[in-house]
Amino acid sequence: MVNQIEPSITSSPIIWVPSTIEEAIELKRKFGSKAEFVSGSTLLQLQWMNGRKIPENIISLEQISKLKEVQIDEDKKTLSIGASSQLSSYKTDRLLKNFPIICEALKSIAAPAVRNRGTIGGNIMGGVGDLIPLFLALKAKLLVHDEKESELVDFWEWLQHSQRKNQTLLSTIHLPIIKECANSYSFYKKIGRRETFTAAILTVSGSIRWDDHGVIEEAKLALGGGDNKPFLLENTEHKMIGKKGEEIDWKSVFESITSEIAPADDAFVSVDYRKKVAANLMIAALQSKFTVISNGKEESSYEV
Amino acid sequence: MDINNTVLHNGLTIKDKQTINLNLMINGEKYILKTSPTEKLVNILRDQLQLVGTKISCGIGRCGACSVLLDGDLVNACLVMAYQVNGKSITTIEGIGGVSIDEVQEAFLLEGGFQCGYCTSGMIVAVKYLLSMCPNPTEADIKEALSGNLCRCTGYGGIIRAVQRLANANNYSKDID
Amino acid sequence: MKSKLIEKEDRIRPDGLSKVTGSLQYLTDLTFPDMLYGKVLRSKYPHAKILSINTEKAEAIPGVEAVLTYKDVPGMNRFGIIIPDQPVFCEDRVRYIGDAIAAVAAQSFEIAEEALKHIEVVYEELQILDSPDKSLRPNAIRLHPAGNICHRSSYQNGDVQQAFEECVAIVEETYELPRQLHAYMETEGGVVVPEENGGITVYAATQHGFKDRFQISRILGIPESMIRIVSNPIGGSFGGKDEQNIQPYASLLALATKRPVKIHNTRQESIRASIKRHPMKITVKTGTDSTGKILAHQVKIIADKGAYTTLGPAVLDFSVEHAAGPYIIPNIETEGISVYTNNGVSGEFRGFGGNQITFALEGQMDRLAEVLKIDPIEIRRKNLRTTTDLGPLGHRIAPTDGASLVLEKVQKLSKQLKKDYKDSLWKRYGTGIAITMHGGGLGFGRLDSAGGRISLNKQGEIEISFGFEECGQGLLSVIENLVIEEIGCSQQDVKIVIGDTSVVPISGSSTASRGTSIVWQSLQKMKGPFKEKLCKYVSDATSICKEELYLGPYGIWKVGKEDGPFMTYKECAEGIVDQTVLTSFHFPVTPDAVNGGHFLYTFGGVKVDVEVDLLSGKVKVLSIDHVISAGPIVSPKGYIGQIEGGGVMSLGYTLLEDMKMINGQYATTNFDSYLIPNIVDVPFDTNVFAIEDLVEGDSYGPRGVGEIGTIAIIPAVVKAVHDAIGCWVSKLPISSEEILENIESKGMLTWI
Repeated sequence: MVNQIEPSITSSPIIWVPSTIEEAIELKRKFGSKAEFVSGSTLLQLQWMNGRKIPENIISLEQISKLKEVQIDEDKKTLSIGASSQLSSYKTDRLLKNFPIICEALKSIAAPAVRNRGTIGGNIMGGVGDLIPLFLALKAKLLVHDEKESELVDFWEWLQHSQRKNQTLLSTIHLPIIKECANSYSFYKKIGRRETFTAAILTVSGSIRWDDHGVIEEAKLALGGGDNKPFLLENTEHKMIGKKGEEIDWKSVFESITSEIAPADDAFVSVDYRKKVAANLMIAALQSKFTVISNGKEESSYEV
Repeated sequence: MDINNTVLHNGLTIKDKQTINLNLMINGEKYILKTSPTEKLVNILRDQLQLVGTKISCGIGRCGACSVLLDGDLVNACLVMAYQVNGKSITTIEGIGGVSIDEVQEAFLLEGGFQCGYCTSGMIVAVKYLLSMCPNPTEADIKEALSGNLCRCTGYGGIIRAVQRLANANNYSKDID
Repeated sequence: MKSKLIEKEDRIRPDGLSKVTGSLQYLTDLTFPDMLYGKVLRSKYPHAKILSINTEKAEAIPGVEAVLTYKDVPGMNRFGIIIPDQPVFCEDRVRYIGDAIAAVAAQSFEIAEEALKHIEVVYEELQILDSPDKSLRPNAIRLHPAGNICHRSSYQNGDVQQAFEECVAIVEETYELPRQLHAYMETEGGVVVPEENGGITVYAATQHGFKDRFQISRILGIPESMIRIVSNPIGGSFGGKDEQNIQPYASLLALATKRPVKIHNTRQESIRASIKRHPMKITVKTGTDSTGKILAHQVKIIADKGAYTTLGPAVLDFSVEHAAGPYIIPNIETEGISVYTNNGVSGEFRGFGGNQITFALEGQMDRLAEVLKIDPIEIRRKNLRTTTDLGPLGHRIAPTDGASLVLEKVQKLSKQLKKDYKDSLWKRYGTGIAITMHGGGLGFGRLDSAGGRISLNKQGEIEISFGFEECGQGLLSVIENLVIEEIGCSQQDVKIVIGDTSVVPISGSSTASRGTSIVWQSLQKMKGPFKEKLCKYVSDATSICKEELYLGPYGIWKVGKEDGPFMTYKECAEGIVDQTVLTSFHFPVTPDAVNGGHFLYTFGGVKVDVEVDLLSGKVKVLSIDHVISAGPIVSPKGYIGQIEGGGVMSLGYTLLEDMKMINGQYATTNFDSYLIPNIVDVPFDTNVFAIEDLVEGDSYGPRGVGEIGTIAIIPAVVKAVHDAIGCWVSKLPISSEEILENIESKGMLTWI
């Protein structure tokens, strides 16, 4: 049986459903600022309800299968994640399952029904996502497309300098893979007012790499989540590089973190609290690693 | 491109600037609807089709009262737009169970997994989804799976007991297989 | 999660199947032919004069059928359960951002919404009084003709000043409690249908159908007999739907358009307009002798009433009454004041002021125990009431040993180590207990009508009827179980009729933990005469001696004939003419004339374990044990559900929930930032222990348990936090920031 039903109608945008990246770019070229790229739209719809202008044209990215691919390039030692991959793909994608920190981060976002619709790219392009600090710490590169060109850009550079983020199509996130990673460590922590299914008070992530003598060669520490402007803590990173774990003065790291970051303020949580918690979480995570290193019980697995 | 009567790649036809012809399966029945492409699925279900078992409570995907299955995946019907469900299959609470009630519904009855009942449709759909992914869920699995479904009455006790009852039953049947 | 209640035989709820299959039609699910959709324009400012209202442009929008303002209210343009001081539509002044100014009926919600934007209201902003402190200043602008004090309530016994001089230990603290959202999952809504006689049928949730009928009749200026209220089923209420919400607007619009009008608040609309739990600031000074015996207790309560009265005075009276809780205190002075502000309206909410005052009282007990180095259980025992002690206002109450039974059980539980929580690097663990005493019914001096009706209907069903609503609390199960137990019939024989003023008797409100009590007491009064009527009919019809007949499953049975009923109810119904028993009585009340004093009390105790995270200051509850003394259990699943659900609701109040207002505006408008507990916040290790015994000779039967589970958990969690990290919290919800500052100042983090 087929049921036909006539609705009452109000004005709506036109939906375009391209099946390739090229078509999507072409539509964007055609409609310019009168069109927006839309994927799961779990965040966008809320923004529309809160008064953000609904575009005249919606370019849906949901039918572009290339945007949902997750791949490992063994030569380039890169994990590439298609931007339209769902936030829930940590449960279904066989490759992503090998990267516990990505799974942990994805699991910390929203709740299952939202994760089944929301996408990894959307979490980044929305500007407030918990994945932003993670991918900053993991030194992500983004493959972005605009009307003129496609470009592989450093995520942090792009975040700071790109003027046209909302005119851009993000197709893939590239993450460097470090195999047999005995000399590296990464972490991800999200704190919200509720245990789960809540905007972050803050999200922090970090990664460090050290040489065979335990001297830190590289450190990335990132803050973001919720209303916090994504931030890479370059001053604090520099303080740690060249030192061994036991040589680090944690009091000065605490000072450095709290003076370097400028988290958001709202009716419920103060800036001061956010600063301290960000520092506490980062220090505790780093310290836990250094304890393990000095205990010499290190197991290696895939890491990014 | 003529925007009137354009067939786009997913088979969705734009009739004019404001409506689309939407094809979808709901609880195994085929529907063709004329609707605004950005109309929310929850309104289509409740207002156009009078499938009012799916509830509306927060309207922003934060309570789970409107949970339905979209091609088998749990979604909030208030966060899914019409054009996004074209050609897809939807299961609402009305489509769960058949001649007799589903085992999840039975477990909720036996364990008192509801009080006012307003979150119950969504909760049961979410439990169906959980068990489809994971027949013998642990405490952590239950917490993860139901973290998007708010209940103000039960404090979740009866709901937890209902899911654990099903998990134990599944565990038992696995043992005897 | 296991229930430790004795596994009693339990039936499936009468409304269960329709709820799990989604087939139950809530009143917000209804549609009628030719139905219009209504929206209400609420104030733009928390406090302003209205200079003009122009609805012309809105009326001109195609699809708009009516736009109403105060000029269109035929009767009294006010509502309010105790004092009708809230305008249906504001005339010349708005006092909070939920104040209504106009209402629109249109062909769709979208059109109605659009029309609201075209109603032109010119305001002149006034100074915002966003706290009781500001409202109490001598030069503060008056929010109501009589000033800014809504209500004062007090109780005094002995001489506290003199007693403090004899005290060895004195603790003084100010406790602050937030505004809480009821957060029923179904927002307010329904449909009002105009009837041919000029009257209306109102399909909308309330906790007291007859009170709605009275209030709406006053607004519409038509007799109550022309108004029918259908108020069942309800998707949660917790006190929040007791007052008028959308009913006046849908009613006025339906009469104006002569068409059915539906209003269903969005969550944002609901939060803007609805009542909330009273924020309170409670300052307490308590002193004891060296053994921990309390000599003096001085309490000052300031409640933020918000803009209008609703049930505020009764809530304050309840807080004042429960200031001493289950303790016998020789010298006590309690003063409460409820103050109008330009904040959201505070009203009734499960626990009814008991939650706030008990947080303060139990907080004092724990602080005194620490000062005196006495065990928290011991200090409570030392001051605990005994079976025949007077009630907290020095009034006579039904004898009860609930307090000591609960404390004994809590003590046993607190001695049993649940788990061997070992402090880890960044986690600390603690445990806490608290107890409480809670009055049921409306209290002395309030019209607290109770009653019910039982009848053998034409279909041969035993029809039992009450003027109550099923909000989810499990009233239907209570009625069904009690009828089966008291009458002796089968489940199939029972037909329950509630929630429709056209067919139900007066039973009073579905509030104040009174439903179970009234159903049981009504049945005690009705069962004898009802059985008598049926047996007499059968006896007359068959000339079998009445004494040989009794009511059983499916019909009237004869002693000695065990193979089936002697006459079925259906057969009986065909001939019987006198088949109805009505009862009407007043809820049991203290014989002493003390305002608001209760007579029947229940008792609750809680033991919790918590974990405190040293890095973030966040608190997580790991286990909850409830102990409840409220008489016999009528419906096991309903009982557990009320206690567990009430406990988690207050877990939210303790840890998460704060309906914060800034300058008279809500800082949160939906569940994305107003956070209630989800399943992850709830310990699977939750247990409910019931003490079913009542003192010998108690004739009041099972008590309601709708509220008692929401009280003791709050101070218990706070004590557990103290146990974990040694800091006292006096402001809710517990602030992670405050905890973290304590952690820092105690040097628990080496890098700070």
